[in-house]
Amino acid sequence: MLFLLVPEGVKAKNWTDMLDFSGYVQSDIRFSIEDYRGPRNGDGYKFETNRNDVDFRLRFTPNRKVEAIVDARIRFYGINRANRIAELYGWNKVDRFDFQLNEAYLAVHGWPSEIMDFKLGRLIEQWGTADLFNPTDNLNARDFSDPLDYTAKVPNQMLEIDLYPTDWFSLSLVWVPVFKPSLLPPSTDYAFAVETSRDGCFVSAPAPPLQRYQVKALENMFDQYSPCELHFNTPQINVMKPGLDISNSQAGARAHFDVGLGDVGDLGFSLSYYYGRFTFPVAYTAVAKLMDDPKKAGVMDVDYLVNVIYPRMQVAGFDFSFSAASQYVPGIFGELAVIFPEKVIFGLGVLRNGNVVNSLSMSNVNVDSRPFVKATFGMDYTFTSWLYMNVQYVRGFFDEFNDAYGIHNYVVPDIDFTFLDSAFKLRLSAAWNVDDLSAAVFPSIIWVPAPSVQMTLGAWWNLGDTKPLDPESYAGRSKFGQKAAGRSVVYLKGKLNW
Amino acid sequence: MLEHKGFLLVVIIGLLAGCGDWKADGPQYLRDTYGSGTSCLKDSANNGKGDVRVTTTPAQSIAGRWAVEVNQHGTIAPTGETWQLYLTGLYLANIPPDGSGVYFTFCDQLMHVTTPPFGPDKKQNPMRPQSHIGQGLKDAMVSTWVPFSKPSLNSLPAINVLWLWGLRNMKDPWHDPLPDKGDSRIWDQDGDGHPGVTIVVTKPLTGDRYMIRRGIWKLAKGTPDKDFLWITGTLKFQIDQKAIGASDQLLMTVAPVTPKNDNTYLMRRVPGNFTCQDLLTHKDSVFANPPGK
Amino acid sequence: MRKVWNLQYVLILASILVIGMPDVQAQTKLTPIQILAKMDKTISGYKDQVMKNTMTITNEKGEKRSYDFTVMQKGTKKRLVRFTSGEIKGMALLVLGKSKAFVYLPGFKKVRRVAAHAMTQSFAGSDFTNEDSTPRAWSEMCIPSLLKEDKDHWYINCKLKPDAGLHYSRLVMMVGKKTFFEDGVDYYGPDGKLIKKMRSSHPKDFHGVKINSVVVMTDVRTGHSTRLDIHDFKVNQGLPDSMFTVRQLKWGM
Repeated sequence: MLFLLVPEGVKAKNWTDMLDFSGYVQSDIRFSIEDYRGPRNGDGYKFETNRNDVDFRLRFTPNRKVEAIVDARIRFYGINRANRIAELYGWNKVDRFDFQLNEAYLAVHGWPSEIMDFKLGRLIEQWGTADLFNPTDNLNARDFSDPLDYTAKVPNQMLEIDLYPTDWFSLSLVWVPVFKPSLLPPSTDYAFAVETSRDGCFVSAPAPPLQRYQVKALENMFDQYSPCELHFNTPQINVMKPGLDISNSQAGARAHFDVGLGDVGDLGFSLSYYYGRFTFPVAYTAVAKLMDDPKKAGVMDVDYLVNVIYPRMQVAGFDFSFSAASQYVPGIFGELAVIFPEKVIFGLGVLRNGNVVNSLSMSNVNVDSRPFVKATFGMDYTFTSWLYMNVQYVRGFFDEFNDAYGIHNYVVPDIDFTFLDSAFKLRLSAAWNVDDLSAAVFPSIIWVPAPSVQMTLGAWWNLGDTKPLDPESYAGRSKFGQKAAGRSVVYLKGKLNW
Repeated sequence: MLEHKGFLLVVIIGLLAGCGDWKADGPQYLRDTYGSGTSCLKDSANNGKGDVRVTTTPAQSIAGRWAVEVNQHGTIAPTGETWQLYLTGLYLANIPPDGSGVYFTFCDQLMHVTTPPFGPDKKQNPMRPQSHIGQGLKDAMVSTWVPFSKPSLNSLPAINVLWLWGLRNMKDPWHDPLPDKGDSRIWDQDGDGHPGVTIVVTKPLTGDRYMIRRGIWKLAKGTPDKDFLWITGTLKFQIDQKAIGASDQLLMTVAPVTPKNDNTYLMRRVPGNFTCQDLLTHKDSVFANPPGK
Repeated sequence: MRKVWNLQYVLILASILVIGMPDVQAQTKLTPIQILAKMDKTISGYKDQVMKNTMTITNEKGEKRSYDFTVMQKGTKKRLVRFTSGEIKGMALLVLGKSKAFVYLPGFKKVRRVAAHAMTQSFAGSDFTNEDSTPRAWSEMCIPSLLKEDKDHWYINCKLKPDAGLHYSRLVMMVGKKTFFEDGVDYYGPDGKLIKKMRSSHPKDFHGVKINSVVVMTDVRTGHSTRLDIHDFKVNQGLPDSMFTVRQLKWGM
């Protein structure tokens, strides 16, 4: 039907006008600045990551009603991973790279009705008014494969219809046929890792989402063995992905309103609804398989198998941003999401030599079916030409779903100092967990030596205890201190846009 | 009106889903997997690290870890003519030191079919249908625990083994008729989004068949060699299966399997860190030179 | 976090446009308000305008940085600015009056309302404030009086009305007698001291419409300056009202 579309208004006249080519080249190298958040203590103070990205974005606009976007990135990893001589025969391990299609979609504007736009294809959608912490924004999963690039999202195929019946009201309807989960940082493995001493003896295992007395019962079982006779294999975490039936589709609707408040200012707010799944995994079952070593009495091999799931949820959302007419009043924004979750009952089983140990079969409600709230409220203010501040209160981090870990509270400040005609910017940002007092601090200096060029020298510094504050509680781990939070690093990035 | 309809659709979808089963019950999942003798939990078994090798040090009993090859021979007649069906099942088995039973883990099943020449003159080449197990089922590493009637460490006693693919909550899993499509006892065991388990057909048609299956082995007593490095034996088997969906309707036809009597099993002692991947990669060398051959 | 510096940048770069009607004959015995009204007409007296520009910022050391952008304007109330080069390529600004502005941040795929506290700020050593970017009619904002005149210009003192939405105490506008071009503006701060000077020059004919093609804003306190070069200018292109909406801002055309 697209051939029916008739260009209007300012018409593109040639291919140069129809095509817009942009993108960037970015190089990023990181160095770990501690040695206790890796696989074993003492491993650190070394180059952690080296990434070199080339991004191409092509926009084709044959007329004012139609747009096609293709955005692709090639990433080369600069760290050699060849371990065998045979791997030196090619580039696969020495100079690894991957290709990512960020976006590829078709958009039609004002068709079939003047008040309607639609998009179809691989998209990244953005809802909400807060900075980054958008509990009402659940259409795309998050891409935390690079924890420093915390704004990234996982693109997904979707159909989006936007309706603009008036200039003060708009309605978005989105359907996402297939569920796609969030990408996790490589350090996630440490959340399940068993800690051993240098000589391989068992030290501790992360607490499962069980009651304290249940965790104690597990501890008692392992206490029967000498720590050096417990041989834990690497825990295996299986992801139980949702099926491809239509009930696993996601759908969302968002109605946005703009309201003038006269001399006071302007208010924009939205009401939204989302049906789908939480994109971060939630612990579902765990099985400890114990096998007595037939050759050595008292020696036990332990396999630990974990299943995680993506629970269903419905989200009723409200977001707003208020812009005061007075220059002395800060901008205020916020989001509130009431989440109606699928109940998740965690089950744990212990098999000894293949036999179920009934006394150690346990269960606990990991996610209650009662609705809970995730929210963000913030304000920002430009004090002078060189000082800008933004502070947010966040209830519920990206990966929190009111499971046995609970919903935590955070303060996220961001202060920008601008120097030398804005060629330099010092940005002090942090996220502080006010419940366990751990924090991530990420200061950076951004230098724009020439238009289109940005150099960034920064750090990501996790503060908190790597060991659980309460080893017998699933909620006992330190949010930013635990090993799963990843290593503290300093980084240098260079980026050129075109 | 358009926006009203669209919004209504979204709300209806949400309400319908909200009225459904909004509980993920981990304990029930474990009961389904272990209570019925099946599991879709993976056996990590050292993640395949370490050198692949069989054990050559003599042992004192059958306790330990074994690689298992189960050779089943039967016939099928999907076109009226008799085709020969050879199924080679690959498993891992663990026998605890107390000789109380054996814990089997499914790794893969290889299928080989021979057909008579076809065509009007019966001179055309055999068609040789081909299919294999979907990756999801292999990844699921279905397991079952089979207790011995009394502890045994000197030989593998005669046992019956039940395998259920895509089935759970059967009242009498050994004898109940297989349910039909849509029955709640059918589940997506390989986690690929389709009910039952997926068999990938590659010849003469191409596509996926979603099926349920009950396999019963009646293993005769297994005889170990003097070093307890091998166990050999015979078996009888029974396969009941049903297609409950397919990517192509032509793949819905599932022919009954008529077992033959020349079925054998072979067990080879392997180290404790031996994995399914090791077995699939090195199965020929693992089962090379069995005793008596 | 929130990219306010970029946002300010967008606002600033959308600033002063000095355009004029070709060869308008100077009038004598015009009152100051009439002079300003005629100047307004040279600036915004079209149904719509499309302008392509380069902005070059020069610091005290003589170091320069340049950015390209396109301005689309309809009447005196609606203006859309899109950046086409530099690290802010893709960013866009929609101004719908003296205090209502929205910015599109392509990196975040978000449209944000520009807060009032950001309107008086400048960016990157640029010599424009954000509020300079709003389209306006000076004759409606000023209480004008004639300071002096010479052969080529009227010098109009513009005392800003309370609702003007600008944070200067007054302006002195240099209006060309032959062209009614806004050839210059002196900006005075709240304390009454001269802050910066704008001068426009190099009249050029674009598709039959003559305007000054170079605008230079200089901070008299620092010597810092910002220059706008207009490369193309078209009027009455039939830009629809729908182009100046938040919907269009997100759409990106």
